[in-house]
Amino acid sequence: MAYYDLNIPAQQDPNVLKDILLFMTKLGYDSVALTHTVDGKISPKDICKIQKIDFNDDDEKKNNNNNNSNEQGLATSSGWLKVGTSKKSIKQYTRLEVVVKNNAELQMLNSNNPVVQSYDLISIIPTDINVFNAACNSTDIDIITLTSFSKFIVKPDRIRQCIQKGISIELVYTSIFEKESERLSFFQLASSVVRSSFGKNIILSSRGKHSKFMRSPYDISNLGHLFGLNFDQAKASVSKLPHSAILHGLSRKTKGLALVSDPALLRDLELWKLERKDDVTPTGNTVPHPKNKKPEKKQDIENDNDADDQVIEQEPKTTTTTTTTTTNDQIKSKSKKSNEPSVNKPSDTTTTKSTTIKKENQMDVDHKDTTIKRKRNNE
Amino acid sequence: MVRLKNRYLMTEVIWHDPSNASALSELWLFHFLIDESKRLFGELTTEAFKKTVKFVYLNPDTNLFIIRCSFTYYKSLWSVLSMITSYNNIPVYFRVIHLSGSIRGCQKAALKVFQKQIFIYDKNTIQQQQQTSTSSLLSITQSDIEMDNAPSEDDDIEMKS
Repeated sequence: MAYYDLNIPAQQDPNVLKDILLFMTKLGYDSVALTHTVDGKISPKDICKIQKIDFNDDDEKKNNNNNNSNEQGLATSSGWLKVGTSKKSIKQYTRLEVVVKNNAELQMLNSNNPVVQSYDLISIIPTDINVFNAACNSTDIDIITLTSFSKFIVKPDRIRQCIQKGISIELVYTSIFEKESERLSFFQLASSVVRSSFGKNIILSSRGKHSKFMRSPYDISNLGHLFGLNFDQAKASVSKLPHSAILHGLSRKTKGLALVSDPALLRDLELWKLERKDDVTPTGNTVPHPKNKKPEKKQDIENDNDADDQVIEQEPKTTTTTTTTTTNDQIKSKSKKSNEPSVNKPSDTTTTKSTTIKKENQMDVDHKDTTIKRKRNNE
Repeated sequence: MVRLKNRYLMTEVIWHDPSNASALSELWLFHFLIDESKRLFGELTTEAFKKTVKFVYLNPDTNLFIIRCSFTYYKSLWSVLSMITSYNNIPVYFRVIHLSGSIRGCQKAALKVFQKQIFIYDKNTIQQQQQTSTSSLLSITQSDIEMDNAPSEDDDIEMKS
């Protein structure tokens, strides 16, 4: 299962950002969205300039440092080992976040705008109920973030609309760790949203400006019970639902049409199928345990034996002595020579013949002699 | 007779500023957790699980401890652990690595974590070893080939009989 955190501010020092991302890999996250926040109207200069952080160069440098001065590169920044020293990589998406105050600013965010086109994800922070209501019906938005800015009552109807449109509602969990007013407003908002959406389309993300407020996906899954999400729902809100938000963004960007230029990209996008497979068969073991299979086989063998016995019992009545001898020979031949298919085939045919003979005998007694003659002729 | 259910939480303590880190010990940790839980959850929940909390294992070198709690209140204890941000104004994060119903599950998970960390720690030495031990690798592959040949001969014998 891949874990997502779709809200990491990109407007900070690259070194700090790199530390945060390394810390997130340690916590077990696989994907991250770097967020560019705009207050109010978006202008052409807000076009995507987010530089994704490259870890490969740093690893090489670290290795060189290690060779020169022993183990200083691996020195602890948190815990007792340098985080992110494993080769695990982290996927990075770009995201535009706009604090919207009125409907005019919301209408700037349409698909014809090149600024909007340049980002992977588009999200808004509504500060007004009218903006929120309009955004729930919009097709150009992927995520609506609800923070302490949005001091209005969230109505269940609107949330249902969002779920229909595939728009995700984001809650920022780091406000739990901040001052009391933030914390209270978060719990009020979260429980009202969870109550009206039943855990659907809720994304939990850190707006982490410092790594000390980051929490691992499992810790977040547990924290969900404080505002009414059960463990699975809260886990989905950091794994499945953010992924669906990213796919929503992709389909919005391509307008439903996609042209695959790079097969590697497709492989990343199709990973969810593997995840679904994991959900259905967690162990990946489709073959039943031999313990469960054995009795069926035994029954089959016993049935076969019974059938043979029945044949032997019935055959004296029909007076076809030739067939019984062949079956006995067949059994002996099986025990002696297992790897000779030429012997097995005719014996099978004789058994079938014997059954036909039995039926005929039951029907007409007169035909008995003729059939036996035929058989002898064949032999 | 119904057995009392427990949950074992294996927790890693991450000090964001390692120079300020204080060594783990039961003395301060227990009181700290109980005080934090009183602050966050109130007295009602705290007193309900206070008696069941026990430190099973605690290692100040690896910053890891295993804590036992009753099944009914483990969620509360877990959220207390993850909602702690600082100890005496030193930023700290209690990260729950593993949750299990028996101490054996925790033991297995702990071994896994330690192996991973040791592997990362010895990454450079392993690389050096790989460079030196290419000759030994060749001998291993040869023995593997011999092993591959052996069972096929057995098959032949079976076919003959």
